[in-house]
Amino acid sequence: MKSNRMDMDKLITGFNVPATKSKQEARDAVWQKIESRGDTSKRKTRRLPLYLISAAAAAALLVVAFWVLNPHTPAIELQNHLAKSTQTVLPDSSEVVVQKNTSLRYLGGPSGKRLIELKGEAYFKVTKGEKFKVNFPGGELTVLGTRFNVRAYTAGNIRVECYEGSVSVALPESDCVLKAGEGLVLSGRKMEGPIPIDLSNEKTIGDNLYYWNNRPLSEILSLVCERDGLVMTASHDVLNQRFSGPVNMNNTNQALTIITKAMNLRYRIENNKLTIVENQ
Amino acid sequence: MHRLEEEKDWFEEIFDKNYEFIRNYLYYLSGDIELAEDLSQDTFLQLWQERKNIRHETLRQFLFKIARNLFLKHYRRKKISLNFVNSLPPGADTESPEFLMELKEYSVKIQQILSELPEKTRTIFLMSRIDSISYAEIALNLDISIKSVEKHMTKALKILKLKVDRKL
Repeated sequence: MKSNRMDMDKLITGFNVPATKSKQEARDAVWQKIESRGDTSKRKTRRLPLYLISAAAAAALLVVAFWVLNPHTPAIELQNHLAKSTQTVLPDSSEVVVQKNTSLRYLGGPSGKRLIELKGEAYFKVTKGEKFKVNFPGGELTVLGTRFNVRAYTAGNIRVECYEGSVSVALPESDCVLKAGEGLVLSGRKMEGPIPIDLSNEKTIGDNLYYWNNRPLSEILSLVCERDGLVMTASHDVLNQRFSGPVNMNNTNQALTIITKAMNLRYRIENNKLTIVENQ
Repeated sequence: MHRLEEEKDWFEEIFDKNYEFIRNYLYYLSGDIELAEDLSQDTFLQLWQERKNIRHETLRQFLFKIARNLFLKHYRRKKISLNFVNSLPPGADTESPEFLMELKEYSVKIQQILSELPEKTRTIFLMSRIDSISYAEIALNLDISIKSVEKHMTKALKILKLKVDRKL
């Protein structure tokens, strides 16, 4: 037979798939499908190998265990944006006075250890007990039971004052123990302290009355700015001048007027910018 | 935006290089050209969606795998019937209507035999013959060994010879 002799292989090789669409048509169809489904690019959800899954499970268990057993469970969060200071009693019955523009987080647990995360200024009257630790920008301090004030809005301007007992302060470049009647000032990278402080200052903390004793304007004005979220522009000469006297911080403009009048300066606040210049 | 343009160019290049192979592969599997065309479009749709996670060195393999998975999703075990278009070059032999009739009969028989081949054997055989893909390439694309490609080829030829002889 003829067909029998015909090269079967050749015939099959010559077969064509009975396509109904050209490549171009098919390509357009694909783009259409892509567009109609929205251009979603799937992130691969690949199943993890078993050892990774078990590792993840173990890690999750650890986290849960840590969370359950961790003595520091968040208990209280305070934010003070009022011009006036606010007074609160913490769960461990320590008293705290929180100043303007300050946030504070109290973490305490069953073991009795207490941890405070502070940004801003606060006065503490710590009830005696287990370790009481305060983390603030640029350092931390530990006490057992005392009365002290921490001012640390930013890491570059810190002041700690101790009124009773002792406070152990750890700053990145130095550690220091303050006794009652001692204070510590860090401005920029320069640390002063321990320096003597006036113990009667403590009485007026809740009134926003600050007694300054021959302090550079840089420290005082930085505090004003930090409390009000201002940015300061002033020359070095101005900032190095020293100021003594009480300043009531309840009213920022009033406080600035008192300081600038006393030092023969002028101030201007525009768009959250505080500019201080000398009077001609 | 620039990145998207690049991706589109890349995608079109991949499409142009592979579309026919994927479509043919799906046709050899299903014997249903409409399904094959539809699923090959879906294959490239999926490629686009997963373009961010693609390992380029195994791209073809990846395309064949998507195609196969899509086919299996639609798979209903049924008798397939291939219906290829003949494209023998016209020559002296092909001119007599008698011969054409015979040729048609013959090719229908061959296609029937092909349709009855096990799916994998048929696919490999046709990829080799029609798309002239090398054994090594087929092995790579379908993620099997060259040895088993050879085995499928031998099997297909053996069955074809046997059945063609019997039917004629």
